[in-house]
This record gives sequence, structure tokens and C-alpha cells, in this order.
Amino acid sequence: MLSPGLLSSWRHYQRHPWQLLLLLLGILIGVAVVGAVDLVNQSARDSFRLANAQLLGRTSHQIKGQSPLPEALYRQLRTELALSAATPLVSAFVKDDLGQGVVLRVIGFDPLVGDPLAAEPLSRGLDRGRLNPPLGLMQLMMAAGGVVLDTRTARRLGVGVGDRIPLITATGRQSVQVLSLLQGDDPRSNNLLLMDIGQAQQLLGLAGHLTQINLIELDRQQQSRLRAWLPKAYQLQTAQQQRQATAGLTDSFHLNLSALSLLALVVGLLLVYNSCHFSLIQRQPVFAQLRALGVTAAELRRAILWEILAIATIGSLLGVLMGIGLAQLLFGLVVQTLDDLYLSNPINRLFISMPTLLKSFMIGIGGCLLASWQPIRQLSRITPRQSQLRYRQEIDAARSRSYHCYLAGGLLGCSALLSLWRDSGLIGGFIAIACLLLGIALITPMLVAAITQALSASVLYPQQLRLPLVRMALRDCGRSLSRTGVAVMALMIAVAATIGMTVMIDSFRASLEGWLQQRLSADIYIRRHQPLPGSARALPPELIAYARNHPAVETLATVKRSATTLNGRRVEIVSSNLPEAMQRGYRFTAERPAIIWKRLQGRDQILISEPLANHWRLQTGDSVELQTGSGLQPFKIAGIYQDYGSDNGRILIPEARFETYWGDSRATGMAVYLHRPADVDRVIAEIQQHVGLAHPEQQSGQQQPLDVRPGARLLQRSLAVFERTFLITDVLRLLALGVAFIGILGALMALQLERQNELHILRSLGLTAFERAKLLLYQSALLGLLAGLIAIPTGHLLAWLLIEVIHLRAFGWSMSYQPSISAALSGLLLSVSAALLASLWPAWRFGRYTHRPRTE
Amino acid sequence: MAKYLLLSSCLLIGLGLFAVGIRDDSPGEAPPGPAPLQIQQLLGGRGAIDPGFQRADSIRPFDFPTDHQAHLRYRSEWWYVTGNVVDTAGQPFAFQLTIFRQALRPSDDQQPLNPWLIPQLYMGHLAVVDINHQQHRSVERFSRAGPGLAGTSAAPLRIWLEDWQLAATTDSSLLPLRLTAASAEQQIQLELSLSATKARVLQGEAGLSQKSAEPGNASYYYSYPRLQVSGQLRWDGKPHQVNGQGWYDHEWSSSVLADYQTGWDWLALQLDDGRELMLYHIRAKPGHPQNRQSVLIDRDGKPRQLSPDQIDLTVLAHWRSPNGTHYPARWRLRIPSESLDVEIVPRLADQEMRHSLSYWEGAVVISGSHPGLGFVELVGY
Repeated sequence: MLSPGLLSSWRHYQRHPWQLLLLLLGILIGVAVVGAVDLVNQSARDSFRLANAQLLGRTSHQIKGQSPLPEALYRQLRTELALSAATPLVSAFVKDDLGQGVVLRVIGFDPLVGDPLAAEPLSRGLDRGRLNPPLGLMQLMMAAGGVVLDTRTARRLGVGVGDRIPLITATGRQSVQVLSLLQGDDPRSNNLLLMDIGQAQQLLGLAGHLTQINLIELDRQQQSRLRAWLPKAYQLQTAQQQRQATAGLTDSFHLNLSALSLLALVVGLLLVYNSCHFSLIQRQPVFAQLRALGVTAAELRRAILWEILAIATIGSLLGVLMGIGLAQLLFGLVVQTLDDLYLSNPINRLFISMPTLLKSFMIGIGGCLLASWQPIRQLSRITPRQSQLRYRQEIDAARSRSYHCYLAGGLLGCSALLSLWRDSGLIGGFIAIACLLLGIALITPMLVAAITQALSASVLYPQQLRLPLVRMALRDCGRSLSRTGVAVMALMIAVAATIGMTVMIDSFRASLEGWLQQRLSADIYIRRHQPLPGSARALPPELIAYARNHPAVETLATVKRSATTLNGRRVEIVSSNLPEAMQRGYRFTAERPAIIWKRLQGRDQILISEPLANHWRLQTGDSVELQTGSGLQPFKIAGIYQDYGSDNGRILIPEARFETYWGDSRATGMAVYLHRPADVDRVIAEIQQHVGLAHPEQQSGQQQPLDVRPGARLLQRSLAVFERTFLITDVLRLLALGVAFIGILGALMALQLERQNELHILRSLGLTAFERAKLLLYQSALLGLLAGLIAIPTGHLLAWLLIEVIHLRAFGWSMSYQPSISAALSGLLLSVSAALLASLWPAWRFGRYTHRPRTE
Repeated sequence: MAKYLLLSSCLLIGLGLFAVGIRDDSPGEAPPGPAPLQIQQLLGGRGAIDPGFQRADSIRPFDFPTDHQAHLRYRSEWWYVTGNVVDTAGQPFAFQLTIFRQALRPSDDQQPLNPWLIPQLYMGHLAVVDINHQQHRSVERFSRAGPGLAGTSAAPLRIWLEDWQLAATTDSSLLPLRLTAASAEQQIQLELSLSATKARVLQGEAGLSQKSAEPGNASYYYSYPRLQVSGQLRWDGKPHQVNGQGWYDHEWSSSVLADYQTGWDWLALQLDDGRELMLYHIRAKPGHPQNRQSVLIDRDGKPRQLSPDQIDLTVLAHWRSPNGTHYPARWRLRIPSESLDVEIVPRLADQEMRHSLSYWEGAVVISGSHPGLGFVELVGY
């Protein structure tokens, strides 16, 4: 037998199923969004970790260099240093040429000394049990282009044992043959082509070279011996260092996602609070009766707690399930973004991890309990008599306002402080945003009350008695804030987030566009088609000479992109002949460009990009140590240039200096500046014709074909990638708005339900059903309008924080903040239409209402 | 004579499943696959051998120092050094280093462009015995020829497998030779100088050692039956200056055992009177001819073949290994024509090499009419 309290809950929801539904929906969406983003982030991270594990296995250290290691180094390790823990590895990314474009990682290993995927360190060869058909070492070693891959990848590519897989590799089109399939479900073997090291060298054009040498369980003595012995051009890294070098790459991206998911959670919890609060307040008369009948406050509290817990459990469970579905959708977008941005997400598979699911489930339950804590406490404090008085609640609400005021003041102060205090880092930045949103949300009901009061006064004094409904709506807005306040907060936050993100993205886009236009100022760009990251090869010198001597060409900039490390972090290094036309494409954070370019002529001077400078707090004149072909070398910073191309940072160095320290500076790309007026298409056609004649092999498919494209097209493509990057934020913004929408719907439904007495009076006063509906619509339009109005400055503040605090701290990008009227207007429109849309059904019910009112 | 069996592990990885069976840690869940290969299958000449390999089917002139190096046109080859030594305090030790080569397929002399693709695998076995403390430590390693990881080279001669190596100290001859081998894991290390005290002996018929009646089931085989060994031996990091006597074998072939042959016993005995006796017995299934060979090398290095009926070798005791294998563990050897009557006893019972495949290879002590020291190899039990 249920307790009287629970029984009354049951009956309540039986009579008001929509209330239960909204409550569940609020929990469900909140939990789903948080769970989905968490799953996606976790999967992307797992993928990253696994991709590392593919290369690292269980190694503790590895030797890497600026370029592939000469294999003689490995021979010396084994034959002279007797390091039997060393295993050689050749690896590179390739793409399948079956039309699917799956990025695969080729790993060439020596099966006699170690299988990179082996569970046990140094266990020899591939585990027999996992290979079908069984494979002899001779076959693996001797079959030209023989590969082993896992069944899942084979299925994805649609190949079986004996089939050939055409591949696009850095050296051109090749093909490999499937020798055997790895059974089992080791996620590390996903999208992996395992080969014998010799065969892999042949395939990847790396004969005589290794990508890295892994070392297993080096003791301290061996480490120091190895460090002392190792030529300066190579570094001994711990596996940890290796992970760190690449980890920063996507961290900021995940942080952004997490922040958005938290936003959805906050909005969702506000909603749950709202619904809980309301369903309890609405039942106060019933609770009062129960108390009067002898149910103690503790019993009542317990009953309500059970009720909330039951609803939270169901809502969270459903939310977790929906989260999985949502995660699938989001994951596609994330993978696309990572592919676009980093071209290096070899594993794209959503991992559904139990701990993550459990976490979002617990967040749902905890959030509900947290949200209902205050209403429950309030409920059990008041006497049965008090709780029967409706006006009492509004008095309470009004009283807590002054308290909220202080709290809001504190939060806003905290936000200001954190946004100015740079050392608080990215976390500080996000806390600043949370404080800002919460602070303004807290005073939103007060602002609404003040505005409606002022408005009703101004509407009243002109004696425009023609608008009794508007006046009623105005007055009512201020009066019913104990019901609608939280919904208005939620709506305000969602709309502010939308405005803020829009302003931020618009500012970003404007800055990026300006930057791209300035940077991509050449008429034609030529490089080898680069199907895979880091696979750029040098352009034929003859082609460079041809372009230089072409009568239409004014200037030619040659560029080579490669990578180095700064303080253990991977950075891109760009070497160029830096003609004046190219120099014009660079904007600096300080000083006149002419001074900086002149300074760059000096000894060991380099330019660094703004993100790099911000990441390491570097300034012009500082000295940095870069890993060069002959060990660590100090360089001086001649200037800091703006750059949105890489959040990891870039270094620009004159060609001759690059050659001195890194050797080969053969250009991998060139930018062609034409005489005015320029006929870009004609010159491109001529260059292509020349390539066809002089380098037939370039177009035959054996080699990487040449990419010759006008600067304008490159600009378009860069912008398209940018747009795709923000697709996922659009989805999350929509979700947050959806949650807010449901909040408004719930609040209005509740209001409508409460007004049975009023309705009776309104009917008696002769208001038609249409007029009654109109009253409610006015009211919600007003709420939407006010929430939107408050959201406009809030959104702009948010955008400012995102630009000046978050982006600067996360990516090191500075961009100009550009307030946007269109974002403000569309936010307002969004707010009003969301509120109106949410009130349609309640208004219809309001109009239709015919029940006889219950008397207190 | 030496270790066809060891070879078979090379064959195993070469022809069978790689990594397989090499150390099957989970016998309980052996996955479906071909049944473990039998020694006979591995060593047998039947059909399995690529006709591209050359065979030891006729007497050939040896060409030194070139013949000290690898013979890549033959399928398998090994270099084998053992010795019994004592340190300055009189503490006795024994050691063994064997480097095997196995071709995955016949290779022409032309090197492939990519050294990783040279179809040659090398395997090494290293063992050191501390006689006083009755401890035997051994280790195994593999490598492909690769970019200089293992192989042989001339001028000066060098036979190496990673950092284990036999390196001649002069350009013109194999001896004197430096032997370097160590295992950090087993805490053993050898840095020894080997020099000849006796001339090289061509085994069998002018170096062609017949293993069964079938032509081609033979190897080219020569030995240095007595080497002066001196240098340093480390045991648990502690150095011992040692001196003693060693034995060197080099053998190559493309097939060695007939399908009815099951294994062999091989004894290399260095008698205190300055003579050496080498005996081998390739055991055959009942009803098949047993192949017994023995050679006595006199003080000035002249080998003399003894006929099987001149020799009486009786097993006096057995030893059961932790794997359950029963090995002969004590022999009585009588050669009436030489008035020789000795007992041969392992200096330590457990000198089993438990690696890819298990066999017993260990130091023995000879007592009786002609005392001395030696090494015995027992395979196929």
C-alpha cells in the first residue's frame, strides 16, 4: 500500500500527464545532450589514445628525429649498444583508393622482434590465434605488398583474403594484398594495415629509413647511456612526452564541446527545477490537507523525494538511451571536423563506454535532486495554514529577490575578475562565462518585474483603456514570476548563448576572411596534390624555373612546410624565400612590418605565429630553442604574426636559414603573383599544359599530381572548412534552445492550470475564448520579448568573453570583436517566437477551459 | 655435427606460423591450426625443400677463409662454440654459443634492394654453466639479416647476430677469434679469445658428412676440435678471468635427416692425453639403419675414423627434465682397440635448453682410463 503522500503524487500526475511528460522531457533532453557530448568527446579521445597506442604499444620510450631515422641507427642500437628492447617501426597514413577514402595507417614492423599490438611486450610475431588464415613469417616477409588487417576494417573496405587494396600513398598510387585477417575486436587494430617492415618501406618509399624506434622498459642506466650515445639530431622521448606532443592538438576542440554540453545541462536543470518546483507548489493545498490530516513534514518530504527519484530515474534512463542516438549523430560531425582540421583521425568509431553512460545517468539523478532540494525544503517548513495561501508564495518569491540580488552581484564580480585574470586559464574563462550567465539569470526575474511595472505604468497613464488585455498581461507577468521566473531565465540563457555564439562566430569569420584575403593574396597556388597529411613532396625545380620565367609572372614565392618541436610540442615550420609580395600578406601584433621584416634579416631570427606566442607567453626579442636537424638550436623572435591556420602554432623562417639548420629546403609549394592586369585562367592553363608536356609522370597517377589553383578558389575552400567546423556548435545551440523551449511550454502550461479561478472570473466578465487565449499569448510574447531583450546585452558580453578570454586562452587567436545588430534582432525574434510557439497549446486550452473552479 | 633440431625452430618460424609455438604460453587454448610440426617433417628431406637450394651431395674443395662465412645457397648453416673453463680461483664454468642461419627461400647472390627483404633468418643460443653452484642459464634470440643486424662478413671474418659475435682478429684467418655474447636478462656475459691449438678437421668424407643413405642428405662440416680459450666471463655481473679448452664447429646443408630418423646423440670429448673423440649416433625408428659415426683425432691433429663395431656406448642412467623428457644422463664408453674404458657424466644434470624447442646440450666430465672434459648434445627425446 502506498503512503498517502505517494498516493497523492500518483493521482496528481494521473490528472496532469502533460506535467509529468514535461518533467521527463526536461530531464531527458538535459541528460541526453550531456551524455552524447561526453560519449563523443570520450570516443574522440579514445581514438586519439588508441592511435597513439598503435604506434607506441607498451613501449616506455622512443627515438624520433626531425625526419625519418636512418635504419643504421637501429642497427647500431642492436649490434653496438646491445639494446634488445628496441623495435623498429615504419608508419604512415594512406587512403584507400576504392572510392571510400578511408584513412588507414600502415604500420611496418619486424615480426621477429615485436608485434606492435601484442599484449605482452616483446612477444614475437602476431598471435597465431588471431590470424585467419594462419600466416607464415615467410609469407609476410616475402609477399610483395602483403598486409594483415582486422576483419572489421576488411568488411568496411569490402575486401577479403587474397584481394588487392588500391591505396593512395605519399608516393603515389599503390596496391597491397590481403594475406590474412586479424580476428577479435581489438579497437587498436581498427583501420590498420600491418606489414612486414621491409615491405612497408617499399610501399611507402622509405627504404633505408624508420619512422621511429620504440624501446621497451628501459632502465635508468640504459636511458642515460642511450642519451649520451644518441646523435644530437635524434631525441629519446618518453611515451608520455610523445602523447603530450600531440595531445594539445584537439584538446581545445573538446573543451568547446564540453562547455556547450554543460550549457545544455544547466538549461536542462533549470527546467527540471522549474518543473519540480511548479508541480510541488501547485500541490501545496493538497499537501496542506495531508499535513492537516496528520501526515508529518518528514513523511511528506520522504514521499516527495521518492516521487522525484522515480521520475528522475525514468527520465535519466531515457535520456541515456537518447544520448547514445544523439552521440551517433554528433560523432559524424566531430569526425568530419577533426578530419578537416587535423586530417589525422585514423580511428572513427563511437565507443559506448559504460562509465560514461553511468556518469550522465548520475548527473541526471543528482541534478533532479539538486533542483528539487529547495522546493522540498520550503515545503516542509511552512505550516499547513500558510501553504494554503497563494499570495504567500509570491511574498516568498519577492523576499528572496533581495537575496538573489546579492548573489548575482557576487557572481558578476567573480566573472569580471576571472576574465581579467589571465592566469586563471581556460577553466577560469569558462567559470567566468558560467558566472556571467547565472548572475544575469538570477536578476532576470527582477528585471522582468521592473520592466513590466514601468511598462504598465506607461501604458496606463496615456489612459489607453482600449488595451485592457495588454495591461492585464503586463501586470500578470510581474505577478506570476514565482512560476515563470525560472522559465524566463532558461530562455534568456539559451537565447544569450545563441546570440553570443553567433556574434563570436561572425567576428571570427570576419577576422578569418580578412586574414585569408590578405594572406592568400597570390593569384595562383601550386603544390603537389596532398592526399594525406604530411606527405608533401618537393616540386620539380624545372617547374619552379618555368613559372619564374613566365612573362606574366611578377613574383614567385616558394614555400616548404615541415614540422619541428618547440619545448616538446609539435609546431609547423614554414620556410620561404619571402618575396615582398608575400610579406604584404602578414599582419603583426605589434610594430611596423617594415621594422620586423628588416629584423628578420638578422642572424638566427624567426617569426612566430600569435597562437604560439600566446601558448608559451613569448614576446618579440625572446629566444626559443627549436629541434633542428643537428639538435637543439636557439633562435630569436623577430616578430609575432597573426595566424588562424594552426592552433598549435607556426614558425616562419627564411629559406636560407632553414637550409642551414634543417638541410633540404626544396619547395613543396609556390605562390605566383602576376603582373596587373592578370589573366589568371590563361596562366593556369599554360602552367598545366607545361606540366603535361614536361612532366608526363606528374599526371599519370604514379606520382602525386600537381594542384594548380587560383587564389580565390583556395579562399573559398578554406572558408568552407571553417563553416563545417561550426556545424556541431549549431547543433548544440539548437538543443539548448529546445530545452529552453520546453521550459517555457511547461511554465505556461502550469500558469494556465493555476488560473482556474481567474478564468472563471474572466468568463464571468464576458471574455470570449479567443480573448482568453489572446491574454495568454500576449503574456508569453511579453515574456519572450523581455527574455530576448535581456539576452541581447548578455549575449554580447558572452561573445566578448568567448573572443577575448576563451579563444585567446584556448587557441591563442586574437580577433576583433564585432557586435552584431542582426544577431541581436534574430535572437529577439527567436526568443519571442519560441515563447509564442510554446504558448500555443496552453493558450488553446486556456480558451477552451470550462471547468467549474474549485474554491479554497 | 650439431643441431639440426635447433634449426627446426628456425624452420618453424620460417614455414609455419610465425610466433607460434615458439613460446606457447597458453597451451590450454591452442587455437585451431595445423598440428605442431614433427622433427622429422622439419628436418626431413622429403619434398619440403625448395629445389633452388644447393645440396651437399658431393665432395667439394673447401676454400678458406671464404668458407668460414655464410653459404647462402644452402638452406641452413650454423657456427658453434663450446668450452669448459676455470677461473683463476679454480671455479669451473662451461659455455655454449651457437649462431644458426636459415634461408626462407633460395637467394641468389644478388642482394635485394631492401636489406630487410633478404630472406635469411638468424637464431642464436647462448648458455653458461656455473658448475660449482650447479646453475645453467641460457637465452635465445632471433633476427633477420636485415640492414646489418645479423650475418657474416670477410676481412676480418665476422659472424654476428646483433651484439653476439665471433670476430677474427686478423684478416687472413678465422683464428684467433674473439667471442662476445651477453644477456642482460640472464646476467651472463662472455668476452673470450679463442686460438687454435690443433689444425682444422674436415669431418666425414673430406668434409662431406653423410646423415643418411640418401644422397644429398648430408652436410659440409668441419671442426676445430681443441681451442685455447681465455678471457672474461661474467656471472651476475661478477667478472671471472677464465682459461680452458673449446670446440668450434661450422656446418651447412640443405637437408639432413631421413624421415625414419628421430634424433641424435652427439659427443665431443677432449681427453687429457691430448686426443679428441667425436661420436654421433643418428637414431632411427626400429627396422631402419642406425647411423653411427666416430672419429678419433690424435695429438698432432690427424683424424682417424673408427668403425661402429669398434665402439661400445652404453647408457647407464637417465634424467627426467621438468618437461617430462627422459634424457640419457650417464654413459659407459668402451673402445677396446684403443684400450679406452671411460664413464661420461654430465657436470650438471639440468643443462636442457628450453627454448623454441627443447634439447639437452651440456658439459660432461670423463673419468676412467682416459679422463677429460667434453660436450654432449641430445636431440629428439
